[in-house]
Amino acid sequence: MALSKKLIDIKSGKLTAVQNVSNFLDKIEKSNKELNIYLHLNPEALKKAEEIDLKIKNKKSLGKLAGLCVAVKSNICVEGLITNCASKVLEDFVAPYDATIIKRLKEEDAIILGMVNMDEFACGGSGETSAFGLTKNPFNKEVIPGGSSSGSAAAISANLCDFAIGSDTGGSIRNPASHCNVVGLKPSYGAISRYGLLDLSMSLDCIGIITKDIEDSKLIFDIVKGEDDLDTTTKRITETKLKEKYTIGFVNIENFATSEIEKLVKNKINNFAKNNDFTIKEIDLPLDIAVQTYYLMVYIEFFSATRKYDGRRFGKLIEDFAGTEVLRRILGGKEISKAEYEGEYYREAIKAKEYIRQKFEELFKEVDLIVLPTVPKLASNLGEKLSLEEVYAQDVFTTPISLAGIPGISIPLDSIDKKAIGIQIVAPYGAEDWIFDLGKKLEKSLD
Amino acid sequence: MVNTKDKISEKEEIEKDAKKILDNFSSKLKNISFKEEKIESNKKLRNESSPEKTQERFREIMISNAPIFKNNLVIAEKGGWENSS
Repeated sequence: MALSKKLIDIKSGKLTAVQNVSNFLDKIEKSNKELNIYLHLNPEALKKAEEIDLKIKNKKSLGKLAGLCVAVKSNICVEGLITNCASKVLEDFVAPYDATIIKRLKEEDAIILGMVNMDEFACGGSGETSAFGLTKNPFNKEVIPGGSSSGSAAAISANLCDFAIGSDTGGSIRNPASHCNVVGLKPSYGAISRYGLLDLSMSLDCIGIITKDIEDSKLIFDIVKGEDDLDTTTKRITETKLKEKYTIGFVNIENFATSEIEKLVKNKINNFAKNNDFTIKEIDLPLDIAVQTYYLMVYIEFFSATRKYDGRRFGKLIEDFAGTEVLRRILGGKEISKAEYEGEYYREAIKAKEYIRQKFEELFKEVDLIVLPTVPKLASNLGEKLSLEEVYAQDVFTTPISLAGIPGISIPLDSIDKKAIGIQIVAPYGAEDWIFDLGKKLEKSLD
Repeated sequence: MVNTKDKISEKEEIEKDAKKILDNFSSKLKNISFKEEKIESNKKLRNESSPEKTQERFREIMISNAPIFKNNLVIAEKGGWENSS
């Protein structure tokens, strides 16, 4: 059921907020042991639902999301709830304040259902590196759910919340959205406040939204976006005038994606463009340097971000309790941050980031929107061993968008062998409305 | 139980792997040439707003998060969590 329809049902009393919460809690009770999506439920959820139902009964003013239930990635602070980044380092850490996005959702009467699983400290793309066990992919339980916002995407896929929020630094929302066959939006950098997000890489981190469809994504985005004095990187995203016809840039992905994905995506997009009379242009992105640029930045910024996890004021010393990938990034980041390497790594990465941003700027003079697959290959089986290079190469189609700071959304396109395949739509900075517009048309054509 | 020696060599191995991959990544970025643009940041300055009052529960929760809390102070000792239960 579309969230706009559910909101009407709740406001009219056809469905009470208590019933909505209870329905989800029942489903979670039945399936969470197997799927391992929720790490902690909000003990206040039913009480909050009762308050909303009372407001409705007494005809008091209601928030725009009254009674809808949201699942929150465990790196976004919710006051009073354990926010542990799926790590033993912060196992019992209780967030002392609400992130700005949580504050906005609460002001609109959304109900925080609970905190969901993720790759430890958002350092992973498989959903397998949580210290509290892997999350299962509800779309296909044999394969990885993707990450790092594994629990957020899986919660939508398994119908265990109305919408979910996560973070996306180099693909952490779009990748699991693709594998779990749901819609995942990474907005323009600064469109949604990151205040209260436990950071991975401050230059790239975005908070984003995971939903069943595009309409739901737009509904939530329009409410949570906006400037915030507590996050000085935020910018106001205004409405973008929609176009009758779009020129779509289709990225040349030869040598980067498997042939089955390349063929399928190309066919689908060509048919879609033909049926809608859109122009398609083949374009090139600097895919050969994106992953390299991204990881150099992330290693250094993550090392810096983790200096607060010293085990003195809260939690435990990160170097003693974190998993291998987290440790790799800390130790690698520490090494290349040394004064003797000044200018060799971070400076090069910053230059490459700017180069990629400028490339996109040039491309958007020729095309309105860009499409490419979300991931280059089908989801791996759970437990499958991949080399580090292979793991990082999974981010080849999502990291360029992150580095350019522009918005991207992953939409379910199709599946091969019951493994979901998502397509990414990318727009110029602040043109989320174009993404939603084209995305809705694409969704309709795939129905 | 993993002994300290094993743990150190494991960390050294991880660090070595990380450096190797980062060196490889860095070498791919050496030949990028592009026009660097200066950003006029003064156009983007904002007026300072009044800070929010600290939430009442903030202190209470942070104290409960602290490994050791004595005489109204968080005792920030390295490895302090090891002795707390």
